[in-house]
Amino acid sequence: MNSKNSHKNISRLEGCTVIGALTVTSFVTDAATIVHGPAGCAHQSASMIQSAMLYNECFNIPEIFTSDMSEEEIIFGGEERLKETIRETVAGGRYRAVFVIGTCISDTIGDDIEIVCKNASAEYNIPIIPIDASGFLGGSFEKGFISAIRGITELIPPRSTEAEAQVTPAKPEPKTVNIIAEKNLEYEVDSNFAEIKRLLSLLGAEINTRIARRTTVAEIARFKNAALNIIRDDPTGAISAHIKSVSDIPVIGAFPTGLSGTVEFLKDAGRLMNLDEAVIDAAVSSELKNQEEMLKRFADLKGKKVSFDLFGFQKSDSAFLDEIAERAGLKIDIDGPAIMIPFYTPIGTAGVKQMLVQWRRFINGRR
Amino acid sequence: MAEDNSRDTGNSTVPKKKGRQSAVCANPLYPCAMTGAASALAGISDMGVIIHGSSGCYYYADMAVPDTLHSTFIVQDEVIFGSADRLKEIVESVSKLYNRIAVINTCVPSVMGEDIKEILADYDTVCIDAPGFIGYFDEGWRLAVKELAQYSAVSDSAKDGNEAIRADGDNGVYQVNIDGVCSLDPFYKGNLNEAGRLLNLCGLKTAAVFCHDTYEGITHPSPYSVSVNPDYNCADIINRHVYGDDRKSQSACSLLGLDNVLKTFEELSDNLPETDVDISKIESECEETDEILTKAGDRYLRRYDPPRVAVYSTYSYTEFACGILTEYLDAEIVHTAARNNPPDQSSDVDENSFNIGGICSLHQIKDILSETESDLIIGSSFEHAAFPDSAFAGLTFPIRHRKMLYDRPVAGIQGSLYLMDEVLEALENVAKNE
Repeated sequence: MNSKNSHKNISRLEGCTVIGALTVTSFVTDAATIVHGPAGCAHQSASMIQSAMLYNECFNIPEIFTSDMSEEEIIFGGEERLKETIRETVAGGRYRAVFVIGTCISDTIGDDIEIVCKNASAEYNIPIIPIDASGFLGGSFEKGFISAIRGITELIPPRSTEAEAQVTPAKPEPKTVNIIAEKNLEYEVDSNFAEIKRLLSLLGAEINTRIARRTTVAEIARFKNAALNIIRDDPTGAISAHIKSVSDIPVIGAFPTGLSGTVEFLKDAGRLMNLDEAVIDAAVSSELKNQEEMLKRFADLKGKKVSFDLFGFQKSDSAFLDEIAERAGLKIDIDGPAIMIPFYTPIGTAGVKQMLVQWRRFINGRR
Repeated sequence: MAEDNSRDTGNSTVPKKKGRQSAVCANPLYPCAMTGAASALAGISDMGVIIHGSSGCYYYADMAVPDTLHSTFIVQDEVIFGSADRLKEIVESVSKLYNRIAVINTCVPSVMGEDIKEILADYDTVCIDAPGFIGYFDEGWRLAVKELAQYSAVSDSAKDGNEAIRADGDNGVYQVNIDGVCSLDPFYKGNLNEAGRLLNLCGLKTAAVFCHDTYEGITHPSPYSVSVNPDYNCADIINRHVYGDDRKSQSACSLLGLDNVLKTFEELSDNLPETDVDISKIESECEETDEILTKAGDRYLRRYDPPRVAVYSTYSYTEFACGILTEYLDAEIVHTAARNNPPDQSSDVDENSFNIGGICSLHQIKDILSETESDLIIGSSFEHAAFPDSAFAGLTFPIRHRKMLYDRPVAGIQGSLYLMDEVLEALENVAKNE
């Protein structure tokens, strides 16, 4: 249900849970996602996703099913229609799992998606997972996103009981990492991932699985092999809390921001994976050198004045911007050109480099 | 693979209405009725359009429709306690910006059972109940136009006929409506420019533009119209209200393809009460263009075989594309389907010479095309995304895989040239790369 239960904390502009959920579930490549609602609703959601993906030059558009509810289902109930849709979707055995996302209209008429999924899952013997969404009645885009992350983790084998753990203790593969809750519509999603992969490679670590970015059901099932979970971003802490509830793997709650933030990230990741201090020190010194080399490309900015326009910025904490300016030799001055800060936080040293390129365009008056 | 059919598969028959043979529809290709109503009404520049629904519904419509939209952004509280106060609050504030207000109901408010006409009885509003579950875009478009027609002027002078031909001051220049302008169509502005140019060429001026005009313009049309896309014709519906059934206004004739352009202007010339409409410039431009297209087609065919083409668009565009490609490139139409129903639903199935079916699901198109050899796909970015290596020409909303910064026409003489240009470029680029 909607968490926005008081007029005081209602935001009317937070978008639809369906799209938030689809940005996660539709990136599980061998799972089907069914939007239980009118076809237009699924088109709207798919179209928004497609639009963002094409803007990001991604042409592999996910397949999204819909139960195509009509007036008849609105009047007499849509559960039968959903059952038929699930039956036809799983026929042929192409999919290893099915996610079912409710919409505001299916929620309003009171369709019990959870029961339909539970029964269908038993009948067809594959996971059929309801995602707590319900369009705007379920909350916001972010709520749908988090619900879908929760839904996907149902594909992870359950935590062992204490007795089971004693017989076959979990043996995570050292130096392997899960990447969780990437923002699939973010323009920099792949470059951010590449930066995290590069940083982890300095520690000799590799990626185990991504939840979910073109990931298979089998890849999600090996979640527990990893030694560390890294979440893209988790301002409310809801994703971290859930991830901690499904496994004992240590968690880093966000991708690194800023120059010293990137170095700290390396130290944290190394420590949480129980790596030797020598390995961590080597990774840190390699990255510090990389940062110095990167900053040399912006030597022409030294001594120039800047100020920051934080309008729309994702994080209220902007200390790392001051640090970047200082390291690049810029002077923060209210009389300097006001630099628009990108909505999403730049990730790692590579993100800082791209941001400095933009800053230079502002400072030199090209924008 | 799951069977998938959100509408009649109908390769042998023209789909007459939305129907379902199967429970699964994957990646539906066309927006819902609410978006259709929003597109029709938001084109009226002095009418404020309010989507009575959630932010999720609004965001999509706002992305798809280029004109300004407003919303009540309802939340759960209004679903439980009623949305009347919120609706009045928004109508009140939006009323300050526009002369007229239209309110479009989305799914949840529609089933809540509130009588929005009653709630807004004190305001001069057009209320449309267009929840997404009643159908696709066209359903909402038509509902909105029918509702709009109720507000159109019916005057004795209009029924007389001649007075209704909106003259340009004392010059006596006849005015003609441009019909079928749908803002969802990526080509609507280019079409509008081209239709205006063609009217100018024969000394006619533009009267109302459906649906891209002022409220006054839309509700006081000329009885004569040309259409850039007959799927979205409105003039006839409005004119029936303006002139009543006793005075027959002329249905908008199509400007899609050279033959239609010529035919439309010939009819216009015959029907206008005076005989000083000079269509000779249109005739000679059509003749020149026909020669250009013939040469371009011949040149292509000297090097390559006739292309095998799959066409997916709205009905009239589909018919137009199939026509021009078979005429000038001797193309084989390997598969074709429309997103919507034909504009004249009483038309005989046999008249559909290209066997245009009705498909509104990408899944279904993917299944068909993966078993059908084709050299070129005409459609939207959805089809392009599904077959990125195929030669492709965009004709259908949404077109997102390329920039659309300048206004391209599909209708009129320039429209035929544009489509042929796109098709030949696409085919030859792929052929060169091979």
